[in-house]
Amino acid sequence: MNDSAFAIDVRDVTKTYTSGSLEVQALRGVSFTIAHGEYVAIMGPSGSGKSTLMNVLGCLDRATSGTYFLDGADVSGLDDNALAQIRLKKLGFIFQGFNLLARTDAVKNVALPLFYAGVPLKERNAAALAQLAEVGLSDRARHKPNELSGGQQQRVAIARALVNDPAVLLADEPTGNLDSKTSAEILSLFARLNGAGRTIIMVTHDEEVASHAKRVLRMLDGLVVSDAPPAKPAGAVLTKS
Amino acid sequence: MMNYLREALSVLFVNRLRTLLALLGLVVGVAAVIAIQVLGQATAGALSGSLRFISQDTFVIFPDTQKGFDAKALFTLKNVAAIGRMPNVTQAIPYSQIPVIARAGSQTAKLNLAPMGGDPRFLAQPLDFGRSVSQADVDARAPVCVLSANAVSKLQADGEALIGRTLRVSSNHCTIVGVLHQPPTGALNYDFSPDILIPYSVFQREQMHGAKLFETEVLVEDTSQMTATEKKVTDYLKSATGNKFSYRAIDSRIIAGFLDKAFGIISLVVGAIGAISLVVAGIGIMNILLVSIVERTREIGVRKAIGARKSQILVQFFFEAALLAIFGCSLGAALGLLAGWYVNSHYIIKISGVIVPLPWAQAVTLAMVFAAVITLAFGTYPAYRAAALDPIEALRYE
Ligand SMILES: Nc1ncnc2c1ncn2[C@@H]1O[C@H](COP(=O)(O)OP(=O)(O)OP(=O)(O)O)[C@@H](O)[C@H]1O
Ligand SMILES: [Mg+2]
Repeated sequence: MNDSAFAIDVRDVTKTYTSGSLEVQALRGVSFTIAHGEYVAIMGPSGSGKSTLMNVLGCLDRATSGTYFLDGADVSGLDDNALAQIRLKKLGFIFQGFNLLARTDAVKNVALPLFYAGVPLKERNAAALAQLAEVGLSDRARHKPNELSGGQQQRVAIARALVNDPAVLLADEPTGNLDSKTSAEILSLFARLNGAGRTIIMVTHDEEVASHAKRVLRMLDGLVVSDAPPAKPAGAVLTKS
Repeated sequence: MMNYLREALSVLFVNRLRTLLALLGLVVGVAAVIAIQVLGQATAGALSGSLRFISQDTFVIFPDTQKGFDAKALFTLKNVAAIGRMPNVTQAIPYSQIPVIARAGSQTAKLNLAPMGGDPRFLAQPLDFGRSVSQADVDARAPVCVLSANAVSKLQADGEALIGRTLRVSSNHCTIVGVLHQPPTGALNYDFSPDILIPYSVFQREQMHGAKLFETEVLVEDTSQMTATEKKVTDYLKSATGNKFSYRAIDSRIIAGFLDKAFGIISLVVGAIGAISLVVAGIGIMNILLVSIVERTREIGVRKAIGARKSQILVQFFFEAALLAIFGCSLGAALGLLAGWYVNSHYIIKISGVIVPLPWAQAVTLAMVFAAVITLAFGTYPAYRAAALDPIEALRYE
């Protein structure tokens, strides 16, 4: 995908939220690297800074200090427009709540990033349909989010995240709103994508879910406290791929 | 550009209910303004039709009775003769209108009798049939008369057939020598024109019996000097009656001036109402757009998280506002024209007999200008607000 050494390289990243006189140190100096093609889970108790880290990695937010190399390029000091461009070209974000546009069909949802990238309508739709096929939803292309199950909605969201062929796929609790069977579907999709070389970073509270990743970063109070392979051996899904 | 247009269209279509609500105020506002314009013009046109009742070449002059009527302000035939000799005056005649019962053949009608001089310029309307009262008629006190179209219709007669027939007016009679053209009707249902015109010499003998005069009608030579002549005549009458009274002159231009003033006030009021309703509609649009931004906070968050730049969100919302404005204003203009046309052609024409052309160009211009103003004035701020949203906070918004 790219010849730079790491997909992600963060050094001493901190994030401090100030609301009035109150300061919250959500990240207190986080450093790690993630190579291309890795599949990493981030775990940790509530409030430990997982979402904050994901927002920084996803270029939705800026670190208070520290440096962040994404796909070999320093993105720490970029302005809003440049960050938007990075999100558009290099990152795919998947949310716990799917965040699809309501009353808008699957193809249109998936094609949305291409719209902002200035791709013409026909190519957009073709690419979106191809991506929907990739996540196994060809037959639901014209359905609207409220006509889809939670798992299907999340797969539409994944297709949308992938449609720009991003360097990194970021997922903040992607199975948080799903039952275990649907979660398994999403996880097997992730495993397949990772098998095809996609870099995936996923936040989860569930050890079972985390066990599908090949590496687990554990956070506590705004710090990464452990970095190791998953505790339990990978489940059936992984062996299948 | 096409992409944004298509995206904006699809967003508006996807959110049909919200779009309809936003459109409603705009459509009603623009339609009201344009309908009012059409009706205003129709009314103005109808009113101006009334002006044709008065001859363009004469003025009448009478005591100003605003401070009460005093018989000493009346003047005499000698005064009228003196006015007749003044510069720019062709002829001055004693003037009055008297209601009479007239009979032609077996038909009788209540009509107005008035004197005229021996000059066709005293007539407010052209003749349809026959001739006018001549100076020879005046000099010979010939019992001839000219009838208005109104008189002909009230007598239920045919204008041409009446020529040469005898008209009985109270105990007198006259030979009908001319019939006037039907004036264009106006909304002022006040008929300025008399129905039966006879030589003033005859009128004097049969109707005035040496009484003092309240009114004189003056035919001027050069109408561009009418105001100056009116002033001179007024001054003359003032001094002739001992400088104790003032006199008023009225001519077709003065009446037109009154009407102009009245139209001016009407159009001002109409314009003000229109402007207010447009501003209200504009604020309504802005309100809907702002509410829709709050409603769409998450959507905007998603769009930004996906990689939409500020400017892209701005342009998109701007396009939505512009589409709404253009669509609403066009629809409003069409409805306004339709409503104006309907009322104009079904009701106003019945009152006034006048139908005015629809102000297409004005309506289209107004709609376009207003669409542009709405977009710029009331679309920019919401679009800016949307573009300025922080993606994380927008995504967290419930
Ligand atoms: N916008 C903000 N303003 C102030 N404090 C914030 C903000 N966002 C997060 N925080 C704080 O930063 C800390 C880390 O929050 P974060 O959302 O990253 O936790 P998390 O690990 O994702 O938790 P969870 O598992 O519940 O999602 C928390 O103490 C939180 O209250
Ligand atoms: Mg979180």
